[in-house]
Amino acid sequence: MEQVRDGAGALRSWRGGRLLPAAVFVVLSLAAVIVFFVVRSNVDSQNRRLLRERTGEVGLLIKSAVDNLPTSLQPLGVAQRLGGTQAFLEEANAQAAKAPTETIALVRTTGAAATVIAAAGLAPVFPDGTALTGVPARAIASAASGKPTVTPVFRFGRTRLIGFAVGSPTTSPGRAVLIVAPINPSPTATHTVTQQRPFDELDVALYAAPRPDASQLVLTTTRAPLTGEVAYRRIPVGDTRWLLAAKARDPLGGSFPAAVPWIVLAVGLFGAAIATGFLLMFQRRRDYAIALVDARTAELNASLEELSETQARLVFQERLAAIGQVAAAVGHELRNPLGVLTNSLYLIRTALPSGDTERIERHLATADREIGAAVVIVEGLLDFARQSEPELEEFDLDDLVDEALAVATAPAGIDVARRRLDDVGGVRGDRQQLRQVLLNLLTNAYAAIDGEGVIMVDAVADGARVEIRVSDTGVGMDEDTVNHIFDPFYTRKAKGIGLGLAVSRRIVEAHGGTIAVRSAPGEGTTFAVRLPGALVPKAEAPA
Amino acid sequence: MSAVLVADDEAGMRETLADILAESGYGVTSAADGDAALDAIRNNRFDVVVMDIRMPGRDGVSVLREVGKPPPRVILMTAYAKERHLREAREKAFAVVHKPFPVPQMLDLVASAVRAAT
Repeated sequence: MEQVRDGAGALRSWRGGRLLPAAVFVVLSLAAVIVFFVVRSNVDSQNRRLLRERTGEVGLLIKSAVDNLPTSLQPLGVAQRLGGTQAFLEEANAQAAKAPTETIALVRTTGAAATVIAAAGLAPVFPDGTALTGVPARAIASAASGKPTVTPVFRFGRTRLIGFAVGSPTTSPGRAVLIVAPINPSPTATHTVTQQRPFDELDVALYAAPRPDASQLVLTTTRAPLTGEVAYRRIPVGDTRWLLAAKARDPLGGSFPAAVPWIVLAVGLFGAAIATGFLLMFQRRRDYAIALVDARTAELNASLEELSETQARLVFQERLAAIGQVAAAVGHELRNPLGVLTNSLYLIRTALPSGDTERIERHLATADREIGAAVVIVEGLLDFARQSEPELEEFDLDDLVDEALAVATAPAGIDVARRRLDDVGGVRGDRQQLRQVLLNLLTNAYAAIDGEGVIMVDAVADGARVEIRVSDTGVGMDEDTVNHIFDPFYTRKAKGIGLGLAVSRRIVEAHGGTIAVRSAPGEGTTFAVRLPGALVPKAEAPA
Repeated sequence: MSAVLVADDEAGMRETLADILAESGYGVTSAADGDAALDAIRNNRFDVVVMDIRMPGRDGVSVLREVGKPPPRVILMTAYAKERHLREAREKAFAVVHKPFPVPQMLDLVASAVRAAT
């Protein structure tokens, strides 16, 4: 019996693979990382833009402060009071009290030399008569010629200073005021200037030079060097250009936008993990389903096997029953001739002493006849059991019918009518087998007629087909009998083995033909044997 | 001379049995089927009837069923182990004999049936 095929095949054919969850995780994670970088790059460029803007603002503030320096000195009345050193000192002291880190000095220039006339302030005070050289001297020279000047960062003794020189060339030629302040870059300095917004957000460093130059560092809000994302802005101060470096303390776009890339990354990785988890779960379910289907398939196959065994057992039992049926049919049928033989032998034995040969011969003939009857029964069974192929030969059908009628003579009261196959060369078939079919049909027809009746043996040709019909005017059969009439061991006669029609049908079918019956109770019976292609045209008829 | 009817559709059995019984001194009549047997029984007086069960038309058991009174002693014969009316046959018949039977046994049976009848 066929095995139940692999029910899990469809599930199995889905090539999910063990590596799929890992691949999905890697791909989704990669996607999350890429999106992370894209978003972060956006946020960074936004921050850079903001940093540039803020740095610009700070730069403007610083420039404005520096530009305002000369103006802030106006109240000092420097230019007006250059003539009186004492008055300058009073003004300078008053001014220095307001800005305690500054030193204000009155300087006289002669050519390239610059000499401090008077100075006020707390930080390094230039003693009177100090000769200034270098950076301050150049600034004073410039100021004295009417051009206020901001100095680069310079050293005086151990102190780093930055100065602003202004002169009054018209009223006091050769005289100038030098205002210096110590440069002490310190984070603490921020506290005095960071009340304004840009300084809240930025760490800045201001160089009195166009390049980051630690020696020219004027101001810084952090001890740490400014590294990473640093914005620069050059600020014109007098003739020089200062450099403002700024770095955002916190992301300028706000902390949430800065967190967005990380949120994206986290969500992406989490999603990847969830998707992978679902995939694993699905795979596990699929595995479970496959296992379940496999188990069911195995159960089904076991059931099928069991069924198959049961079927084999049943078939065997059926065969045994059939064999029993055959044995019973044959055995019972043989009892009659055996009984007659027993009787005949008894009669012969009792006749022997008398020497009445005529009587003995008569009983011997009876015994012979009964042996013949027994042989017929056994042959009927053998015919049924034999699976012999028809041995085809050409013969005259009408001769065969004549022969059959001679062997099975019609009982008294029954007339046999004939329709012959005229103008036909012959019929091709197994003569012996077809003779047996005719005999079976004739004896059945005789048995069907109770008393008087007519039997018609009809042979007609239809193309190459030959049809032989045996009709009787007998009792006929009901539908149930018609349905079973060709079954082996089926008989309506009180006696008989019930194989005649079964054998006949097998013979006809072995010839490639059919045998049919038409009957109704009281209307007689017609058997029709159709043998396709059995007709031999006249020209080919055997000589 | 006791009268015996032999009824069997099998000519061989009918004729040999008739011969045997005639040789044993019985007056034997033959019938070839159940209807003929019934006719014979109704129209004649038989001491013993030896009859096959399976015959075309009326079978032996229905003949036995329909014979009037006083019923003759009937010995039924059968070739079949499983007769449909075997129980009824055993009840109504003097004896039921399975074919083939030893001839002396049949003669004994007929003799005892005749004795029982008289």
